[in-house]
Amino acid sequence: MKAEKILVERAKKDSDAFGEIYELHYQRIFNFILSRTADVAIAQDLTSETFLRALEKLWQFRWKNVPFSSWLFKIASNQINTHFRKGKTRPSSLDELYETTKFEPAILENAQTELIAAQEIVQKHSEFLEIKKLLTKIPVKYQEVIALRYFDQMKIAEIAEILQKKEGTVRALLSRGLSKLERLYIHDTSENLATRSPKENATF
Amino acid sequence: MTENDLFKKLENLKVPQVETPIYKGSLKKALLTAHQNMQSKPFIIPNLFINMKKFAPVSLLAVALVVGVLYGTNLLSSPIASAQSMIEKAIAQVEQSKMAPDQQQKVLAVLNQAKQAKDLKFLGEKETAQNGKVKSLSFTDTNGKAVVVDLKENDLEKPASVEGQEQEGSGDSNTAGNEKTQTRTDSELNKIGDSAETSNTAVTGKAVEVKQSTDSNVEVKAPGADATEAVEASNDPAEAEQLK
Repeated sequence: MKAEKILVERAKKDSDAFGEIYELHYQRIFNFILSRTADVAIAQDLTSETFLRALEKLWQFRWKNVPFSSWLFKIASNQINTHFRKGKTRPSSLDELYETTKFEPAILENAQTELIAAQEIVQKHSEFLEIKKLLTKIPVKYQEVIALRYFDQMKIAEIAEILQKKEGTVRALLSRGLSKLERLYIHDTSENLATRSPKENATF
Repeated sequence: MTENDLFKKLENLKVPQVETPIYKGSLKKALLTAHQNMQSKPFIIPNLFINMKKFAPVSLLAVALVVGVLYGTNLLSSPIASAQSMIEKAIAQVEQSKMAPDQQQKVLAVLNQAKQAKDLKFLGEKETAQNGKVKSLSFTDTNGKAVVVDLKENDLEKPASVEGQEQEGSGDSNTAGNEKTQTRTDSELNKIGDSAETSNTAVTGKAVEVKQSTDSNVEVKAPGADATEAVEASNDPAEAEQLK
């Protein structure tokens, strides 16, 4: 924790230190966003936006004995919520970043191939996609708690840190969210059974 | 399928773990370039311009508030506003005082007229023999007469005296002849002041008196001062008689 604190302080002025932070957290943040969006291109954009925001706001960051990743997850969570609320495909600040740094992965052929391959991997996770589809039908406040708990395997205390809520509140949100998800799941399953042909039902 | 299936699924859910090294590398380069740009440029100025748009509505509101407060303060401290507040305090004090009802009514009538007058203004402070330091206010009453009100400066809640300056022959008929216009010498006016003070102190315990002069010029005249014309509007018939 102390080493992380020193690294974050260094990263405020030293771009190499910021690069270290990026390497440490990129994959986890990207997969967390991907688990919420199930779309690689959107996950890439939101991950970029998360780190860009982190870079811009790093000078404001105050160490409170909470892992730095919690702060990044908080930014990521906000980006996801904004995305669902506004339905934006790409945040405008990313365009600025691309323009000023001449960074545009979409035009790179390799990056496009990589994106398609990654999306194919996502499509193979049918069970995840099924849950993800149901999850989008419940309010966002429940979605983020369930996603952090089951997609990213986080403990209640960690979720509470990220969402800046009390552990009791997180438990309550999780419980209510799961109840809503459960109802949808049962309804969805019974509908699927009803629409199957008699032959299919006999073999089931 | 039962509802337990959902929890089993959630617990054992395989979330896609995807790696996109090309994108990751490109983004890292871009972020590091942006980081270096931020370090090389003066920090506050670009942020200031970026944030200007965000803070424009807040800034406008703040400016409006400051202007409002300044205007409000200026309005409150204006002669009309301060004169109004003095009159209001005086009215409250007279209403609570133990004055004789007639006298109280008369004083209140004048003060209420002053309160409603559009041209009520604070004339200044002066030293009087009878009431010490007083603050003088002037206004035009409903009959178009210029009236001067004196309020004790050390205790604004206690009106010291009310002087009206009106055209000859006019006056309040309810004051049983006290409104007659008379010409007096300085020594007589001193007497008026003394007797009025004695009379009113006996009634209210406060130095309150109502005077009207026939001079049409707005001129502040404290009891006992060198006024040439004055009418005592006391409700004490004996005193009024003495004044005549």
